[in-house]
Amino acid sequence: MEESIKIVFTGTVGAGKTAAIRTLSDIPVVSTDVDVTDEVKAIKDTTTVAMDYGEVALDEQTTLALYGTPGQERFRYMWEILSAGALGVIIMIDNSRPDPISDLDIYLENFAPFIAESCAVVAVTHSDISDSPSLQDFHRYLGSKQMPCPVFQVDARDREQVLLLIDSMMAILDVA
Amino acid sequence: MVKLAIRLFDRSESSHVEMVVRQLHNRVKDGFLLTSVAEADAILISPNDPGFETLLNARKSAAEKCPVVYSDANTGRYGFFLSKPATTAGLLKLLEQLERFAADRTQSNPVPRKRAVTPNGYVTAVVEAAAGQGYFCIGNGQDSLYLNAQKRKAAVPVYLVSGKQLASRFAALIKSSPTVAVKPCPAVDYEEAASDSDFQPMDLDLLLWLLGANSHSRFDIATDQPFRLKNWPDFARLPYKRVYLKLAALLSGQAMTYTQLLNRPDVTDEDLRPFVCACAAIGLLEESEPVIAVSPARSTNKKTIEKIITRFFGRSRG
Repeated sequence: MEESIKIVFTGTVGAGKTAAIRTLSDIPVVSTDVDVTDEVKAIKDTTTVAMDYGEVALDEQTTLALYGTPGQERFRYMWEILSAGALGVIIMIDNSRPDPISDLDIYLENFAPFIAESCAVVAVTHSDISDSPSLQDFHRYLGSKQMPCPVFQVDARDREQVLLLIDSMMAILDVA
Repeated sequence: MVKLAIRLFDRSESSHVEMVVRQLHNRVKDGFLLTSVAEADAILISPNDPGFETLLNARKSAAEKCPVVYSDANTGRYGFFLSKPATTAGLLKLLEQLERFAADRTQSNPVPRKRAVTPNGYVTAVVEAAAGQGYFCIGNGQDSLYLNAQKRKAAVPVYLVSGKQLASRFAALIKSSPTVAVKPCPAVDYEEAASDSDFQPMDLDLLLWLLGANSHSRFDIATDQPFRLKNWPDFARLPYKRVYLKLAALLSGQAMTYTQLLNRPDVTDEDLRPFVCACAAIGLLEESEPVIAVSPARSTNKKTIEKIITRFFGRSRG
């Protein structure tokens, strides 16, 4: 019987969810992008409205599905649907946005029940544009939320750095 | 003062309790402190929480953190109890009970806390210099490198480093040299080195991490003192072995002793010692009471994890 397991990439618009999935996927990433017509236009021309999908064959029977959620909060109803049954969630935060900590809070709040029974890894992107808040600020904030998650500054296009996110998630699940 | 943590996954419950806590805190500011689970003396928790039994058992076995059951009815089974919905009067009564309990426990069972990992020799001076604000020169008369502690930067001769690793000469230097000295230096010495092409700029934390991982014989380890990580090391910037991820996962949510870690079948002294020394060098280790993790994570099939590790990294986790 074929088995499918999944990992979810979520986070702010433009944080690099699609790029991160693309670095890992065996197949071309299936995206449900549409042209943007709102404030996101300043960041990019298209955005994900339902999901991104990539997959990795683990063996003949097992596929690792990589789901990217839409970043915009108004599509949050998709977040719960996509995270159901996932191994864990990678929360990608664009550090060049006005308030990255508040952005993180939105995802922690919305994924709290899921994270409570699985795990989360936080990836901070675009730190080359803005190095504030610092990693220490993120750790301090997560500590106050009782969530000692790993936090890494990564380039979502760099396969090695995206693999660090996956590897950290596996380490957490392995010792749980 | 009672250190209280709230661990309620129901958002409306959590918000309500936090509001009550804030109201009470305005009245009795010094009476209690809201803090993280790791730091807390008592944890407000739902009996439906997957980590509840673990917490309860931990307390039974070693008088650890007090679980405070947040529930509709007090069955009397669990000791401390806060009735739903929380009120300031109910919370105040609970805090008085917890204070009495903490005072009794301190009297009957004082826990001395010692350093889990302590640098010795010149490494002490390097770590202390890095924790300061000034400029320092580290040298042995032949090789010199410079620190700008305030900006968390170092300037290191290029022949001593190789990317994110130490060159063998540096490794040999820090392992064996008895003559290394750490001295304050003028800012201009650092600036000159930093702009010299014979020197490589390096993050100070990376230098300290390499120093800790490569000179672990210069650290004393108290094998029975529990410690934990303040937070995960930044493995995107620091060199690591895969087993370090597992150690970070273990130690970020709970305190364990060196001996407890070594007793795990997947941990060897060869891996553990450099990891804890590196963490100590960059100030990530924190001594703690022997807390057992309240892990909410559901158990994941180990075969699934191995399949993912093997697929992405080519071999089983070390």
